[in-house]
Amino acid sequence: MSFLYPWFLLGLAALALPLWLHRLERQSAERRPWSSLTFFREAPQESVRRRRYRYFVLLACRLLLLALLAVLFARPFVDAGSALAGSAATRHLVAIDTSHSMAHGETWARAQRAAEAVLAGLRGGDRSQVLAFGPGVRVLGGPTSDHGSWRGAVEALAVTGARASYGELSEAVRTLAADDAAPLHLHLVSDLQRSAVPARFADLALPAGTELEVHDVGAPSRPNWCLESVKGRLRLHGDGPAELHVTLAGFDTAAAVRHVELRVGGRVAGAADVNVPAAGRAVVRFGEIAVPRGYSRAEIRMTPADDLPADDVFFVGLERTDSAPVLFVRTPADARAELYYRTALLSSAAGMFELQAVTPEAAQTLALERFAFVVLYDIARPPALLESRLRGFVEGGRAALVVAGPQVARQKSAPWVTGSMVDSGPRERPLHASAPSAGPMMAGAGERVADVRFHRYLRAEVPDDLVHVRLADGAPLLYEQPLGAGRLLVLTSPFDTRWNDWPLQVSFVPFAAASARWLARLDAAPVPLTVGEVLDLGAGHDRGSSVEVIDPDGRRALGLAESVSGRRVTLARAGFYEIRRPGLTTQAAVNPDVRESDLRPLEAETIARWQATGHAAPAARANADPERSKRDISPRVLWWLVAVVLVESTLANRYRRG
Amino acid sequence: MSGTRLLDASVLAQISSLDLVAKTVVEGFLTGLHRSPAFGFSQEFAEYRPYTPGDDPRFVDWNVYARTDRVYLKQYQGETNAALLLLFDASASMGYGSGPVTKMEYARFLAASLAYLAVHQRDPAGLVVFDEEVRVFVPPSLRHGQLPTLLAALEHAQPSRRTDVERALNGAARLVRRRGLVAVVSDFYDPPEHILRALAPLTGRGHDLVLFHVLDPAELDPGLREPVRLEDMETGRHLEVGPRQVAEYRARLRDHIDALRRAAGDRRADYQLLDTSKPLDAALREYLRRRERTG
Repeated sequence: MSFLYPWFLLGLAALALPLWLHRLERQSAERRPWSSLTFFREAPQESVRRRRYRYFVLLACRLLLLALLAVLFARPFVDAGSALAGSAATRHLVAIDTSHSMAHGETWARAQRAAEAVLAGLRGGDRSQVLAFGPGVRVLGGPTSDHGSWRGAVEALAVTGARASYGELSEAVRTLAADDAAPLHLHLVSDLQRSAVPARFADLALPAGTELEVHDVGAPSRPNWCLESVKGRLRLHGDGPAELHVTLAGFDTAAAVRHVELRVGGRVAGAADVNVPAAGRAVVRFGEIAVPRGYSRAEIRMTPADDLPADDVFFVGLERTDSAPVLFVRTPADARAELYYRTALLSSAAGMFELQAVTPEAAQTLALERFAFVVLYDIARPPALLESRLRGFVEGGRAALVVAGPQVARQKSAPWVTGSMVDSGPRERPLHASAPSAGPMMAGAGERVADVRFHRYLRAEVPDDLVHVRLADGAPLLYEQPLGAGRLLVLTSPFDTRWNDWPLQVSFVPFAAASARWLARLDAAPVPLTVGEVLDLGAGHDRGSSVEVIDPDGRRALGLAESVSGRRVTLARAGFYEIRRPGLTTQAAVNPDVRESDLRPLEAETIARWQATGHAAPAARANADPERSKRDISPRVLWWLVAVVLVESTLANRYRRG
Repeated sequence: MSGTRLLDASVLAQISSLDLVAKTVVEGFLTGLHRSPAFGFSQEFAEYRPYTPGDDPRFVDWNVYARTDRVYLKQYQGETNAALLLLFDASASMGYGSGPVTKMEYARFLAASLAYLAVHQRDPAGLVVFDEEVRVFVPPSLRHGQLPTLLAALEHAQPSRRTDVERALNGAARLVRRRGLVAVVSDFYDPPEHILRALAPLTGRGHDLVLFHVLDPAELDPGLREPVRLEDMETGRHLEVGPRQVAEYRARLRDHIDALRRAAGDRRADYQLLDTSKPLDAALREYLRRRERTG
């Protein structure tokens, strides 16, 4: 115990006062003379002893009262870590694996029984806390001595389709132990999957002084087949058929023939019997798959199902789209730039985009909603109607590429661009660009952009995190400008060969294609996602536009508040998620983590090494966060003071009457 | 200052001279008596008696000798030639006092006053100072200088040692052969049966006996409100005493006083309980009443 204001402890000198007063009282009692004790009967011994006892109790109360008062003023605090380290109470962490593999056979039922048995066997003086891991680690509540209170929480837990990570669990235990130096006892209730071990064994390290007790609830024999992966073009343009390659994997399995069936939009699109070798893999090809336009839900199912049926199904989305229309707004003088851009798109993404070039005046009357994105080429001041409609178009979730050129240089501003844009003027020595952290809009062009020579550009003040490509003098060349829920790219130098030679360089084509895909949101191919992944709902979602996420069961995955302000959603189940934005609805196929299908257990040696990481002396973690571990115990001292005052008053009153 | 006020022991304690104290007491007392019809006291002539060797020649009636050629002594009313022997307890317990006057001082004033009164009535007065044995003995006498001797002996008496009334009275009985009045001034912290045994030789020889039982008001009513540790002034013994024991103490003291009073009555002796906070007149009245009865 330490004190914030230790000089108040000088008040302990006041302890001399009751000592002196009691001493006087004792002396006067002892020295009172009397003529003769003939007529006094000697008091019974117990009476004298009782009086002495009362005397000392009363004196002790008064001394304690003054001492507590001095201690209270000195503001005592204890190092929570050291205080708890001294106690024999153990903190039990019951970590329950809720990953996908726990759905194998009766594993989950055994896990719940094991967890309840562990909690029922804990000592009354110890504290317990229940963690669920997979996905991530969830702490179900604060530590408590009422071990029975966890029963409902354990029963309410359910298996997820996500992956467990013993590395994440160990990290969570280390965090929990940082502010508590009590001895830790980690009860791991899991099927002890080998695949849950992190790549670095050091990530498994437990806090010093932690006892790891393993409760293996996995089945003794754990053969498992699964659909490991699906490969093929999931986004189609034009009318050609699709082709998928499905990989089957067996873990601890005997050689067997498995039947695989592909359904697209609920209709059987193909089926095959596959010979899967013992503990091996096999690939089955489904060709000539007829895919209708739009997004189609495809489901690949392996039969007969085994004890872990969820990984015998694989969900995948197939999308067939028409060419995405792109509106290129330019003045008549910029026809060459349109030519360069159109050519680049046609050569790199055949059939994906269809370019329509118009003047600003003509663009005012067009239905913008049918365009994937808009290129505003060197338009400093578009007509008001167009500017207003384009703003709504972008803020509503669509996209635009603003290219700054001579017109913008004259006006020193561009639509929706924050701040002024200043003409650098013609440079005798051209600048080169670099894209050290180029985003998806520069895919394939990032390194090659260094070959481009820029003679002139527009300077703009932009936060670093929004810049994707910079010129050699640090001026931003390509950057993002936040605008509602949409995507807005700004290029500070035109591509018409007057200010630079980019259209003539090889990096221009991949730039045009990648940026177009990104702006049209075609960069996110319908790749199957994994349970437990977090889906980014997009920047600018917090600007007021709502988004709705429907899970595979048809229920909303986001609450009302989250649908407006939430930026991410955790994909908790396998199946198809539907993400509804204003004017744009996308879907995502989600599957269990394939690593969960490998049910082979950890080797005993690995478990022993893991347990050994917690056997070090626990001294190291006591000082992890000294400020945080300081606990003010003044309230406790105050309660003691009140109690002592009551006892002293009661005793003094009783003794006086007696 | 009234006479009664002068009999107050706390007032007398401020007078340094015991002689003056005795004079003040007796004269104040006698002044009071003149106003009281209860007691008759005078120096009127009563009779003549033949001279015997040892009589004070000052009391010879020379007129009668001239007429009859016989030597007679003049005797007055109330004069009985009864010697007064004061038995003065000087044990350590007599040194106790809760107020301005200790029992020893009170007893000293009383003895001095009695001696003064006796001498001025032509009674031989003597003194025995005792504790557990006789320390000082002044035989009763009417000779000149007897009173200063008595007062000096009283002044030198200091509380010390334990008390043993039985032993002291036995010793005194052997010293006093002439019949007279024996006044015992003590706090009588002895068992009543011992005191009774001690009184037997005195009463058996025809002495008139008066017991002056001197007690401090705190002894009569110890007002203890909380437990205290008492130390016996004679034995040095310590005792834890609480309020609950006071009631028992009072009862035992009351029994002791009653026993003393009964014992005195059985021996045809008088018993007078004196509270040191009260004036001395009660004691003097008792002396005169007893003397009158003896005469």
